Amino acid sequence: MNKNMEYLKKEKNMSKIIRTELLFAPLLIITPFIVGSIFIYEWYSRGFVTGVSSFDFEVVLGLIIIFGNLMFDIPFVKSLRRLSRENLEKKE
Amino acid sequence: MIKVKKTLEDTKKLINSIDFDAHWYRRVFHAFGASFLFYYLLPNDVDWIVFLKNWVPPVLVILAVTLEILRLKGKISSDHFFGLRMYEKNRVGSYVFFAIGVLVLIRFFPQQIAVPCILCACFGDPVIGEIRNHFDKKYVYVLGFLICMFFFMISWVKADVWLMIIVSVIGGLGAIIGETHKFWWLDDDFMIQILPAVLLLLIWFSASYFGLTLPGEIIVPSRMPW
Repeated sequence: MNKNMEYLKKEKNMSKIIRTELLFAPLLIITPFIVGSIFIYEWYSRGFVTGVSSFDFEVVLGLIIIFGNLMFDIPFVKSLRRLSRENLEKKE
Repeated sequence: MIKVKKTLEDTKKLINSIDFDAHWYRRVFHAFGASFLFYYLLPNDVDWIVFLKNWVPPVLVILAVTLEILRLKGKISSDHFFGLRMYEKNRVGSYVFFAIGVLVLIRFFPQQIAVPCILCACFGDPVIGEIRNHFDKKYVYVLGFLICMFFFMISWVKADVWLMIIVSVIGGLGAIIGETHKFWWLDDDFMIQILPAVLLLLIWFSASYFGLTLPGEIIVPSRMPW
């Protein structure tokens, strides 16, 4: 592995660190979806309904935020689930 | 009560059993940064929101810088900072560079420049990272350039066609150069945002001299009942 890609690791603090990650996970995953949805709602209520094209960028941005995040959220959640399963199996 | 206690213990056991995997965490953190574009949606005619718009971003950056100073001085252990890379142990963490870059953009650059640059840092950077992990280096430059160019293109779609093309190419080039040429003291998370922004600022000021039409605001502040 590339040296630049290595992360700081400390066994003794691992569980504390992982707990921090899990606590942050809902915020990191849910916030972009809320923000993206607000952008789309703004476009719908002020642009689409009234036929004003000035808000078109907002729907594009909303979709980019939602799908861009989804692209990384899925492997993130999968990696957490996979690792937890593997570790439980190892312990058993 | 016993059942709740057992569930809590099981959950704790499960959390403690998960190995260290910072890779996707960093990617998600990058993508999460796009949420800060909500800043542009906040209205400019409500006093308390304007106050928050003026003060919350610098306060967050000051907080991040303070934490980094304490970490580098050894007052806070690096162990408490999840997902730091090895080379960041004795250097300012990239999240600080990212935050400073976003703050500089929203404060000193027009949103037509700031928004695509922030998108490049939030989505371009992690996608380029993934391409780098899975494909040959030449694809990093080509695909990275195309992704960043796309963000500039959609942001400047309402400008003159020639201006949109020039901005997309220069912005895309600036972002990919900023991303691929990192220094020990200056992180690519900062460069991918600021380098294209500075190049585009030159175009911004010279466009009217050449009679080219600049795009208007791309995100219109909301009129939601705050």
